[in-house]
Amino acid sequence: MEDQKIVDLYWERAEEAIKQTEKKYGVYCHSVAYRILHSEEDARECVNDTYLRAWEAMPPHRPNRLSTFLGKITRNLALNRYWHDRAEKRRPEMELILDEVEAFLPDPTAQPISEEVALREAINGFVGALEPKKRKMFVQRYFYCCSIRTIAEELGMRENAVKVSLHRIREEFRNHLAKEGIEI
Amino acid sequence: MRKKKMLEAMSLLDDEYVAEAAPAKKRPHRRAWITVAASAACFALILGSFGVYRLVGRERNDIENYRDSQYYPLMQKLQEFKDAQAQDITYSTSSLSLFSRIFGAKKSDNAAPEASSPNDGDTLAIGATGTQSYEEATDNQVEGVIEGDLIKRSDRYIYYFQKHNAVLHVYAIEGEATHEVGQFAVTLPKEEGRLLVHKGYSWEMYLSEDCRTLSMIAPYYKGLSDGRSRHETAVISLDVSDPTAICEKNRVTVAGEYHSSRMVDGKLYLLNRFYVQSPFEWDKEETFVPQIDVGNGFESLPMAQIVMPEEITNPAYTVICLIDEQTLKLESTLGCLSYVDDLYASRDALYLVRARTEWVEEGNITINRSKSDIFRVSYTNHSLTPQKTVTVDGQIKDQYSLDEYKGILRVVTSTSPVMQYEQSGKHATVFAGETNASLYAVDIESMQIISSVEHFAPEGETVRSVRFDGDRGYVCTAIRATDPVFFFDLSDIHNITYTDTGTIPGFSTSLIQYGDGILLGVGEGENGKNKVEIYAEAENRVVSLDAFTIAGTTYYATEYKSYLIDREHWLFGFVVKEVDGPHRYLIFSLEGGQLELIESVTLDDDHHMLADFRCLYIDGYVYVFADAAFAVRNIASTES
Repeated sequence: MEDQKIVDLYWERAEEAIKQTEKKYGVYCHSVAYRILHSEEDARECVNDTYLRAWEAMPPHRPNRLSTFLGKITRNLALNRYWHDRAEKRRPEMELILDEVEAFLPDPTAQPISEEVALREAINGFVGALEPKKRKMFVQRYFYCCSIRTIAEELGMRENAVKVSLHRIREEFRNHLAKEGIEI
Repeated sequence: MRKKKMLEAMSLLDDEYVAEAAPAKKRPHRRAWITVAASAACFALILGSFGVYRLVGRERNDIENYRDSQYYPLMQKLQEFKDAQAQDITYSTSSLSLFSRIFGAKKSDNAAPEASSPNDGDTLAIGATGTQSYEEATDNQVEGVIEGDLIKRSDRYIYYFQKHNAVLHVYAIEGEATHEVGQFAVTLPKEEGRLLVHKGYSWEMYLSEDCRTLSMIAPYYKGLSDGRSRHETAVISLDVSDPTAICEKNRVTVAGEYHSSRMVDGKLYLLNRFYVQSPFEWDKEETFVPQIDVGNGFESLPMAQIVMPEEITNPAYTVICLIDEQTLKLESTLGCLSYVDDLYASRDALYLVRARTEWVEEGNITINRSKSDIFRVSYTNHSLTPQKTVTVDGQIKDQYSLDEYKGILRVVTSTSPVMQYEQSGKHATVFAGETNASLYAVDIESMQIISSVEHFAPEGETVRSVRFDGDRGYVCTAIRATDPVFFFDLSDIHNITYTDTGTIPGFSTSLIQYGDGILLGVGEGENGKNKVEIYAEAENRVVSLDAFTIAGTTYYATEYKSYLIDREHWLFGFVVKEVDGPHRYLIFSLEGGQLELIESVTLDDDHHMLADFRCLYIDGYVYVFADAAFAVRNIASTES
């Protein structure tokens, strides 16, 4: 079913909307959650909560791209779940990604606190300027939280090559954020 | 923590970048592998697992307040459905919270729906009218049961509906001198709603036998005064006796999303999907009873005109409306609760299908099997009469998977492996079998299965296309990129035999019979390239006579009505599009069992949707229409 029709069903408050969402994007949302949580039960709960959030958001929302609208909801829910459970169980892959993210954070003493708008522009400005392969690499690692192995398979590269590329991209991103006056 | 915030901030990425980088889809963990049908059932289990007994109790009390309502049995059925969703499986408290929050969700204030305002009706060059004779432009599945389409014609004019701006165009058929003689823009006042002209929504029309009336089916979306929105469908009757001065005669509206329609002997059978709104509001009939407008505004369909199965699997209806083509008088209506999947129309009956999952408790495990229920509604003498229902294993792909012939309904399904669920209901494993295909023969009087051939395909395959032709049946099954094509001899229904081509590269998404035992398959060949292929019956088996593979990386239209199918002249046509390239409508000759590409018509416009292409062959010319352009080519000399 086309996205526009699914959104229309949400607006009509028809349960069919959730059924069609699950049919079309269930696997996608599950994979987004599973990469972060690495737990079948937790991932499924996140996906269920995604449907709830979507039900509550539409109307009045009419997302242009339903897949990413749902994917972002799932991602945020999964991350919140991860922070909540982190004290008890830490996933090595997620901890590694967090350490990598820390590497591109700018010096905390340098600039004033930024607003979300400025941060959005800075992130998208940087990502948009990357060549497609590097952009895909960056987004898969830091949005989708894919493992190095998964990224290497997707892009037909060696794992070491991915690691080296990401390292360079992180440095460039750090410099970019600093130049834009971004403070987290 | 800063790094945590930064990771969260990655959600600020533009949708375009997120979508571009989406990793390749993988199936979830093996132990949770489920088919689409089972996943829908799984969803029902998950959703229904939230044992919100307090909420259930509150709704049950509400029903008690409506014991005197004619719709009380309907309310009970709907409530039973909701209760069944809330049974047995226990989940975490967060999930309980989810259920109560969904059904306690308040409706938001909806933004006013955007109304489209195409240009007002406009007329062009003057052309003589005179009498016309009807010519069939659509390759109807059943003779005498006309299907709606974007294109219709007479001997003098072609009528094509341009969906993206909701304009009907009329062309005088004059070979290379073909030109537009009239047009009509379908409009809707802003306060009435917005026309649904984008991808995924169907617009169809019918031309009367005398070529004076054109019935347009227009789906739209309407905002209601209480903040809700809903689908509605308008049937608009146009006077096209003078194509240069088309005018609207009248229109009738039906609540619900347009699903399908048929025209039989001047009677339009309109089928809409009406969705019950969640949460239930028993004091508002318009939220759970189909609405019809007989001229005095919308009213609830009487309970006597609603049929319900023993158990509901989907809180939605297919509403059948019988409308007179000339007067647009609504003569009869039937609301069929839960039957909202596929539809097949024979000369005497409508067959409504619902896909469901059958759950059976066996000890401490739960087994599920995919099933299809087929509900027969007779329309003999234009009277809608509910008949019986038959249940078959598996799922039905489309209308071509069913066919009524000499009192027997033939049905082909894709069957799923039987899944078993642990007691918690959280994890599924395969219990028995693989995906496969089955054929059933059903007596239409008793709606009993009288014969069957089950699991005739190689293990793991599913049905890709089906075609019945008298006492023959053709089925293409496939797994990934290889297929056999099965030929069924149905002349002795109690002794069905079949042969096949063996495994050959590619598969067909459509099978088209051309007569004389010739079958055309449209689909994919080796390496995913688009192909067309001719098959023939030979010595009790099916053989491939010829195949044509489209060069380059293309994708093609799977919409059956977009194909040129001319059996008299052995012509076939379909549209392909190269990645980053133009649309090309390819015309083939099938003479002598050989495929020859005789014409390629390029149409390049951003508005083109593959499914909206149409092509007609008339007296040596092909007329190709896309959503924003048309072209005429003389192929007579090419053919000869």
